[in-house]
Amino acid sequence: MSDRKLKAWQQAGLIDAETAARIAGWEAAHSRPLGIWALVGLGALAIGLGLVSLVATNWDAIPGAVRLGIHFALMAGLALLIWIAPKQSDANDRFHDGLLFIAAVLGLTFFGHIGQVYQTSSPLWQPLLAWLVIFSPLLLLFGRGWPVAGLWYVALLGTGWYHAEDYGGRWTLLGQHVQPAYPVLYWGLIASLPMVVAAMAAAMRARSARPDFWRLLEQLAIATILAGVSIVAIISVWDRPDSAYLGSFAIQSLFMLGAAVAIWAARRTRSGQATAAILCVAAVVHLGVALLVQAGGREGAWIGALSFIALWSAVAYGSLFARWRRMFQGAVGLIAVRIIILSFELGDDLLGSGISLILSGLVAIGVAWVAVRVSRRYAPEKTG
Amino acid sequence: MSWMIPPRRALAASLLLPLALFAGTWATTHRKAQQGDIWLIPVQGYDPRDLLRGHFVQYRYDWPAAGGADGESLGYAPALCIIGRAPHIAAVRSDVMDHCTIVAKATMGARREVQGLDTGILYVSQPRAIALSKQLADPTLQGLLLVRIRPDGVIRPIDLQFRRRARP
Repeated sequence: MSDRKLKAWQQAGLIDAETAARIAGWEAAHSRPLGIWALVGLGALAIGLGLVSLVATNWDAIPGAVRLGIHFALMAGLALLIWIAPKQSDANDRFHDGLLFIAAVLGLTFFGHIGQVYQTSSPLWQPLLAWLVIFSPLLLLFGRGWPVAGLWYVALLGTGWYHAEDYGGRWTLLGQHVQPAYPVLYWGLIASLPMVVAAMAAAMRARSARPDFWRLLEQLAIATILAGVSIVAIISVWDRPDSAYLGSFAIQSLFMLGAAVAIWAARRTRSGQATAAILCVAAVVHLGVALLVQAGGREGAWIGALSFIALWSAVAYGSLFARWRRMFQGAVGLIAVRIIILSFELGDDLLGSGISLILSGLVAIGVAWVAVRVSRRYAPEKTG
Repeated sequence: MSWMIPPRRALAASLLLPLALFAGTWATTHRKAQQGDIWLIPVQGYDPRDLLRGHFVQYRYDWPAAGGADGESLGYAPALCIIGRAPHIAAVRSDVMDHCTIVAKATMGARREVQGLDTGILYVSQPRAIALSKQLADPTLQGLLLVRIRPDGVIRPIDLQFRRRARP
C-alpha cells in the first residue's frame, strides 16, 4: 500500500486524516515482507554462487587437501552455527533459511571440489542424487520458506533430468544405443517426480508445524505438472510421441490421479478440491493428447489447441471455485493466447490469402477483448 | 505429533549426516587416488576450439598402436592392453591378452568427456588451462599425460607434461 494513494484519497475527501493514519498503521503491521524475502533469497543465492566460483577457480597456490579441508571446516562451522543459534533461528525465518541454503550449496559444491582435486568425474545426476539423500532430512524437516523449498525441488528435478539424459536412451554412448531395461516404465516413472512431490507435500501440509513450507512445495509441483502437460499438448502436434511410449503417458496420468486423490484426502477444503479436480483433468488431457495425436492425422492443430484449452479451462474453473484471483486471470490469459495462435495456425492453410490473415487479426482482437472482460468481471475478489 | 523424533535430535542427525558422508567420500576418494602405477600416455589437443571449457583441458589419447596399426580406432575399444614398463608405454593393443602389463578400461558411469578411452579431461586452474591449451596446439610439442592406472583399469589423470617432438 503506497502512501501516495492514501494522500490522494484523503485530498479527494474519501477518507479523513485519522482513517488514513489507521490504514497506514494496519498496512505496516500486516504487510508481507515479500521484498525482504526476495532480497534475502538473492543474497543467499549470491553467496552460494560465489562459493561455487571460488571452488571453480581451482587456484594453484593452495594444495588440494588444504582446500578441501577449508571447505569441510566451513561446512562443519555452519552446522555448528545452526546448532547453537536456535533462538535466533526461531525468531527469524529468513536468517534460518539463509543458513540452511548456504549449508546445502556448500555441500553440493563439495562433490565438485573432490572431483577437481582428485581428477575424478561422474555424471551430474550422481552427485545430485547423493546430495538429495544426505540433505533432504535437513532441508525438508527444518526448511521454512521458498529458498529452501525451491533449492530442494530444483535439485530433485535436476537429478531426474540428468539421469534421463544419460540413461533414457535418447542418445548413443560410445556408438551404442543405451536403452533402459523397461523404457516405457522408465519414462513413466522419471517424469512422475512432480506428482509424487505434490502428494507428499499435500499430506505433510495437513500435519506439519510448517504448513507454509509444504504449501510452497505443493505449488511448485502443481506448477510443474501443469507446465509439463501444456508443453506436451503444444509439441506433440509436430513431434508426435512414439506409439511405443503411450504406456509412459498412461503411467504419468495414473500418477496425476494418485496425486489428486492424495490432495483430496489431505485437504478437504475448496482449495484442495479444486487442485484435485484440476489434476484429474490434467491426467485425462495428458493421455488424451497422446492417444488422439496417434489416431488423428491432419487434425493435429485442433487436438493440441483444444487439449491445451481444456486443461486451462479446468484451471480457470477450479480457480473460480477456490477463489484464486491471480490463477484465474492467468488461466484466462493463456487460453486467449492459445486461441489466437490457433487462428493463425489454421490460417496457415490458406497462406497467401489476405482474407485469412485479416480474419485471424480480427479473431485476435476479439479474443483479447473478451479475455480482458471475462477476467475482470468474473475473477474472484482478492482475499487476504 | 507422537511419531515425531525430538526436533533437537533430528536437527543433530540432519546436520551430522552430510558431514559424516562427506568425510567418508573424501577418505575413499583419497585412498583410491593413491592406487595403481604411474604411466605416461601421449596425447594431443582434442579440438582447438574446445580445448578450454571452464577450468579443465580436454585431450585426445594418442595411443601408440602395436605393429603400426591404426591408433585412432583404439580409443573406441572397451578395454586396452598396455605393454611396457611403467611409466613408459611400448605398445597398445585392443585385443586383451595374457601378456598385458596393465589393462585400461573405459568407464561407462562417468561424464561424457571421460567415458571412453578416446578423450579425457584434466582439471587445472584458469591461467594454467590457457597455457596448456596453447602447448597442446603447438605441433612441435608432444603432450604426455601423467596418469595413475589402478589395477581395476580405471585411469586417473595427474598432470600434463610436454616433450619436444622428434623432427620427421
